[in-house]
Amino acid sequence: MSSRPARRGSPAPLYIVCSLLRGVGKTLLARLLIELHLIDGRDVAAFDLADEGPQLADYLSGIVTIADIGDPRGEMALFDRILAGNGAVTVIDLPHRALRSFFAITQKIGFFQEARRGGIEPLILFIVGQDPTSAKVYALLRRWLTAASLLPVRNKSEVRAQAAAATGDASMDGLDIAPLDFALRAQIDQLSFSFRALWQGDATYLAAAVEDDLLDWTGHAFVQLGKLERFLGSEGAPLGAAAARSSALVHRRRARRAAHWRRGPRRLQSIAPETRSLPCWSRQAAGLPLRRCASASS
Amino acid sequence: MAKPAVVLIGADKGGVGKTTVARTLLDYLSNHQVQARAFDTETPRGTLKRFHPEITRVVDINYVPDQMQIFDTVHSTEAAVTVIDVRAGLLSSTLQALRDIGFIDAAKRGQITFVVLHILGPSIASLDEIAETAAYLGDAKYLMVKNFINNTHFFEWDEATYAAYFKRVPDAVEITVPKLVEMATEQVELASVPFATFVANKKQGGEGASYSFVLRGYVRHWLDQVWREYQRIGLLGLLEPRTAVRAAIMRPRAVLEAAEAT
Repeated sequence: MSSRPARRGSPAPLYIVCSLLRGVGKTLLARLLIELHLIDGRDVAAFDLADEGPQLADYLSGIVTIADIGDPRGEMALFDRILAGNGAVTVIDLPHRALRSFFAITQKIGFFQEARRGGIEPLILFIVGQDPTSAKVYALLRRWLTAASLLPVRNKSEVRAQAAAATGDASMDGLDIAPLDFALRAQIDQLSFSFRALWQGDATYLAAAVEDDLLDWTGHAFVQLGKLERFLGSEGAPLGAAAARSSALVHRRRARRAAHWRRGPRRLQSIAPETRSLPCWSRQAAGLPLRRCASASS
Repeated sequence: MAKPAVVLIGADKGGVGKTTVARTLLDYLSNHQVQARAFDTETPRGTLKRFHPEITRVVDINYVPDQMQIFDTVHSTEAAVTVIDVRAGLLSSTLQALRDIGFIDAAKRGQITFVVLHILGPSIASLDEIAETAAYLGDAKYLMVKNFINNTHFFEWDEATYAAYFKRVPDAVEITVPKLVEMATEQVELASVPFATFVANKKQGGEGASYSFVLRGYVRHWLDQVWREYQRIGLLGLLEPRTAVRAAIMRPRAVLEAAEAT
């Protein structure tokens, strides 16, 4: 858990990111949520129930706790700790295999009711997959979980979730995660990638065009996630306010960098070595001459 | 004054969870504002007394003065229900003693409501106990409890054989007590409080405790299931008809949640 102070006067959100399928972007959504709240200066407690890699804990090792609800001891370590969270934002990355047992336990022990009594507002983010049973399970959860809010997520950045997102019920309110180019997806799947670093202008190893595209996509995702607090009825400064400030900083930085590129190719020497080895297509996108690119790569 | 009720909880085999069932019953009565008193025949220490010290006395059921303390006061006590947790192996002899002192005849005449909760074990011997117990019952309400709390599987039972024994006792009713997560059972034991008090996160004296929410959740869920069984068979109506009318509109979980909130 980070050491930043918690917000006052609002329920502490508990996000449970889940789906019936694997590979639909649960961990990506959990990462976005965690990092957006960290950018906003919130305390975040995150739990990873995944039993196969790459896991949420691999991306955010200092923040994420690996949890196992296979026995009461593990359940206590997870649920008791969340209830004692002192207003922290909590994110749970729930793998498809643990979906049934997780919700069965929460129902059995009355977890969501207790969470609400303790000022925690549970929100289940259910990523709709192309599996035809997804809608059925969503409807079942909606009927079953009366003490928690449930929101469908159409994650167009994942191939497996794209079909469902395209054919899903348009009248159903929910979150839409924008499509993401394969190359950009490869970037954010790197274990060393950080949305915080990107947003705060610290991802200097990225080519400008890549960074721009990622910023656009991340900005769209953050706007979507910023709606969640309104959905939960939270008071106070809207989620994403700090992110917006960071965004302004990033744009200033981008403007400075554009000026830097315009000053000439000799400046290339001062750029980090890993940036110099970026593929040519990204250099071209960044406005660098290809000839220079080839010489820099060699 | 309303007709007093006596509930005898026993088995001839040990370790089948008699005291656990007695505890759930005392919690059930307490949550429906039915005044109860209990006798723990596990002399000299008494397990039931550890959990319900204010309403429980430890007695020797074979000792005549103690028998007088229980049965001679049934009509004079303020408690509407008397619960007797009979020590292992003493069910048959206790029933025999009750017959000898005319208690079972009094029940037959309608002066007393007499209920026997027979906790069944997994062995064939338990089935033999049914026939033996039934011989003493007269007009008592006979409730057979299949108690899974100790992870009992009733593996020795053939359903046809069980059904044959079950039919021998007219109006016998079966209750199922599900298994409770072992860690939750242990923690309630350590806390030495009634189940409902554990759920409410309180100590014996009423001050706040810090029991695990997960374990409290398991106990609440389990107790809710047990109370539903009591409700299903109309136990409250049998023991305290006036309260039963009030209880009929309250679901067990609602009662538990109300107890927890106070």
